[in-house]
Amino acid sequence: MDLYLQFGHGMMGYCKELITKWGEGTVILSPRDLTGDQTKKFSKELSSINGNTLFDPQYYNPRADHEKLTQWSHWFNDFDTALLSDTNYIEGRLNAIKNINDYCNTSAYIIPSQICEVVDRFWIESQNLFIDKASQLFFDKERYSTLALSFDVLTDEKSIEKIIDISEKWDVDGYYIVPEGQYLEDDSYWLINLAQLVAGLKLKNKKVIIGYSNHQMLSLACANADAIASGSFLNVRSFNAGKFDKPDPNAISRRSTWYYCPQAMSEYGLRALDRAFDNKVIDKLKPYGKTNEYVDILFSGARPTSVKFGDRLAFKHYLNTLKQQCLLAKKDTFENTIEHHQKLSDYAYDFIRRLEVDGVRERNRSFKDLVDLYQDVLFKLKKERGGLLKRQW
Amino acid sequence: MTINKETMLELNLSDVKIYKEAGQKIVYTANSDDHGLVVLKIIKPEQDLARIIREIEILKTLNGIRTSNILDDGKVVLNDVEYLYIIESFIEGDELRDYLNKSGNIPFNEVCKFLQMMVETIAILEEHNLVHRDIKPENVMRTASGDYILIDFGIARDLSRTSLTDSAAARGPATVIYAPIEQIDNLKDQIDSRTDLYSVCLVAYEMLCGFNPFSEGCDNMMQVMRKIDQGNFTRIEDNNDLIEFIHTNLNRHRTRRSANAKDAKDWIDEIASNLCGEET
Repeated sequence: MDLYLQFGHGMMGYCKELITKWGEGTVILSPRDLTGDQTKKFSKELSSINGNTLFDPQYYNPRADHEKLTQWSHWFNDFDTALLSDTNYIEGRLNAIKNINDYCNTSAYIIPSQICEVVDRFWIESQNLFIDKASQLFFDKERYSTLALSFDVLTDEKSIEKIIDISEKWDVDGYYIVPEGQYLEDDSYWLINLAQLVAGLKLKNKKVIIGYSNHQMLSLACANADAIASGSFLNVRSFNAGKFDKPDPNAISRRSTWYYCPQAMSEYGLRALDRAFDNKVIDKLKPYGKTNEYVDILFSGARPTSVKFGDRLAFKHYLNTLKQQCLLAKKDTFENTIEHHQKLSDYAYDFIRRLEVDGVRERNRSFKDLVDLYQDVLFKLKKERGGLLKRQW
Repeated sequence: MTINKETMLELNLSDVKIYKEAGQKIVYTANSDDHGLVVLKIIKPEQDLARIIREIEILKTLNGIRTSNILDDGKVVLNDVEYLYIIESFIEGDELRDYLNKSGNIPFNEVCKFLQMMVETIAILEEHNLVHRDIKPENVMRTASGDYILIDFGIARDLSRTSLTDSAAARGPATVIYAPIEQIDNLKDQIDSRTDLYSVCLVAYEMLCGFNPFSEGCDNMMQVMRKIDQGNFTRIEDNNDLIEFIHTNLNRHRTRRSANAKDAKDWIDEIASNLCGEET
């Protein structure tokens, strides 16, 4: 399974640096965060360092009023036009998307879609319209249909199976899933159903990319996902349609720096790291016992809050580490992949517990309370689709 | 009802004996000058003729591939009443239901063989756009040589033709305890070979365990339907590929079963060849 970079605010530099380091990589471009000219220039730069791009049209919320987004040539407003009857209008929008894909030299098309709040005929009609028109206009590379799903849809098993069922009729090469949920979602069914959706689509031989992801989605490797996409701030590591509205000028920024410890599958704030330093167990938090260029400073013998470990290093470390975890997430067989994730999550749980004994606790972004949910995903995949996944692996 | 001499002559039959009386027909065995031992089915009046004609057409399409062969059909007058009749080849053997009653739980290898033959049959039906929709022990014959033959296409569906079932009906035609929820709920656009795969795996489950997991312990049909709707059945504890095949295709959601009968056939053939390998 690969990690794609979900473009978000201030990510240009990270994308270029990480793709240079990895020697390859794919960025999902975001019109919310880039102008047309910036997109053109950025795509060229990425291409020169062996980077690929996908362009996400971001039609999830057609009433979005985010200034940058609504100025794009492909943007549409389904209240201003008869969306479902005016095929010229849809063709015009898709042609604009094609034009953007052409000048960005993307590796595939992402067909837009509105967020699905109910899997009913209204959503299906709209989905069919976009997919049918795209099959006429997007013919020179692969087409991935967007599946932007609300929290309610994702937590309803029957809705998920209905989507898998109707997807049989869609002429696409793959799917770009945009799952609404909070960062490190703790609903019992959310991740299970997302994994079932991925597995169901993969069993139909489609490519599946899950956008707006975080390390919780490593489990989707067991559903044979092709890639997850993640980014710097939380609004590109989880999906909330509200981010496509104008930012609230009165909103208070509550930013703090988090260090991702991969063996704990958890993030620790600098204060927790200070406690580890004070209790002389800071070295236990090194990523699998080794540091890297992004986190050397945290383990240099100084108190973590006293060193210059800020967001920039934290984000790059998170994405670089998640990339390594993604690349190791799928094994040669379904059974071995399940076993790997079972061990990964068991180990993370034990590791967090041992750190707690050492006096290091982190409540906000700990994996401790998510371990059961993670393992439920593995169990349900084995039970419901294990036989088929095993055969198709 | 007795078949008189004139009718026997008209149909080119002799030695007509009553075999059994099923829901919509009376079944006889008889000797045919041309075909030897045959089955004569006389359709009772006031039956759904369109469905019976569809059954005849389907059987003719299949031309005897893993099912009985239609040798003749038409109308005959008995006691001044006109009846539809069908003459089919006679399959020597037992109904699977009788075989189960006699034999008790069936060993893995035999169940695997049953699944191989029945899934192959479903794959043939799939190629012809047909769904049987009524696979149950009463509709499977086990021949003297141990082959399994699917019979009674009374509610079979030809997916390429207009459905004969009322779309507004809350329930579709089915033997509920062997039918998946999409069939019970009359979700016609969801009926395909995965419906038959479900039923055949339910029969396989019953062969292995000696009971139907959905009707077992239920007092009435509502309880059964609830269990089917919830996909609530006791899973077989043995952890092997055959059980995995059965559990997969018994899933409440058709999207979680094998994608089609051809895929299922490849899978069960692989399981069978592994079982043979283990034996040697």
